[in-house]
Amino acid sequence: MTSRITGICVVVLAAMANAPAAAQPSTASTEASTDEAVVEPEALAAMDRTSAALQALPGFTLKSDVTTEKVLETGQKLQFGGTVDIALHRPDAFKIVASSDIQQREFYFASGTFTVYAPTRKYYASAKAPATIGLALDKLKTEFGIELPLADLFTWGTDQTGRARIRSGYVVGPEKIGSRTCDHIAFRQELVDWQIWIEQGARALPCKIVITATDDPSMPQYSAVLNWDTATVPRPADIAFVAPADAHRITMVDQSGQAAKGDKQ
Amino acid sequence: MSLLRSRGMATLASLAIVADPLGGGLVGVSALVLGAAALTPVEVQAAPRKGGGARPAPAAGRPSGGARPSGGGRQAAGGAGGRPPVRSGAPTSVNHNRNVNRSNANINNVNVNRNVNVNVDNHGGGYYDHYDDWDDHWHPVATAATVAVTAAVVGSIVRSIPPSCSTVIVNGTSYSQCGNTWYQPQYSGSSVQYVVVNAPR
Repeated sequence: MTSRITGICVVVLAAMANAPAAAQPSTASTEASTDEAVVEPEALAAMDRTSAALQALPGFTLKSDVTTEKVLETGQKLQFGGTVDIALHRPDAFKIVASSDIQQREFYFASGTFTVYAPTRKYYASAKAPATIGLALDKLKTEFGIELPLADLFTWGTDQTGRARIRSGYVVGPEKIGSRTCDHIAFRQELVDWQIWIEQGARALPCKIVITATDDPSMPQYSAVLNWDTATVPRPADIAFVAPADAHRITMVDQSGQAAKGDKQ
Repeated sequence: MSLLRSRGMATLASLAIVADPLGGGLVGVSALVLGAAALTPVEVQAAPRKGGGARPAPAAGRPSGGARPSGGGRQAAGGAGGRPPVRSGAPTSVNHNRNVNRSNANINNVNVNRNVNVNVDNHGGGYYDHYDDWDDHWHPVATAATVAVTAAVVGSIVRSIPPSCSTVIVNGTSYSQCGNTWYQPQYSGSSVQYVVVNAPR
């Protein structure tokens, strides 16, 4: 107890010492876009390494523990936990099961068909999509307004525009994520700040990803700790959607005529 | 007594330092503001993002404190009651289409204002857009009561329907029947929504 109080006092001193200084730079209260935009080459190199590592995998299964936040109209944030499990077979099949206390969704892609399924509501909808994952993701986004959780894991290394969007990036340092030692890297770009922890060593896969929205003053945040199984590559037939007997097929609204509507999964 | 008070302030100040680097921007800033205001008579509006002097000097590439999207003061949730509507959520991928509260497809709950003003167009705030979207289970208590007495407008879209509705298949199409009102469910993005339709034949 004593040590805790001491710790608190130190904190107070730090805050007091800092307060006058903090008040001085009036320029500091302007928008984040005035930040000096420096992108450290080391940060991009680390992303290149992990992108290459991801692209080199013929497939994987991944279990992730996630937290997500919803912002109420009052500005208050609520946090919810859940899991996102992904099975990927390059270049043509995936299955994503996103499950939390507030929402369950399953996303399937195989043989050029995409399916979304809500197991609690027993509704699914399917649509034709290009045969490869990257193109299918584009179509889902632009035509159906569907964005898949952790979709970056599929596209890093193929989407060359991603790099151009980064306006700030630096290596924070090595940190422990469970038993793994991972390099913590922080990026900023329009609409989001994001952080990635990349496992040290030859594997170089992401250990954790945190994405913070900056277009809402409450800055809702998504966090995912990733646990990889790269030993077994799923077979497309094993991860394809099979409609449960009590499920009903419904339609998927084509939104390509509208302003793109972000998915709020 | 005074010891107690300063301990309270200390807690606030430490909260600011702990919370801010984690991105809990508003909490961090307001706590820092409170703590600092009590401790020193300073101008506090420029409370730095990185909160507190506990951090080492920025190295190359690190943003130097300050500069965060301001947003403080937007709080003070009034007597909105149990569950205020959701206005936005965290993005689940880095390179995504972010579109908070600017949706064209604004959608109301069935229980709003006798349901005659269901609005498929944009209006001032699309805040209610996400309310049911993010929660599969939640059904507004008022919904069931209102639907029974309200003639839903054909073509209107709702996010949720009463749990008592039953699924009916007509000519291979799934409908939800709620008394005399028929809905056709569809996916909009990864959300399920319900379009009010004429009774199928």
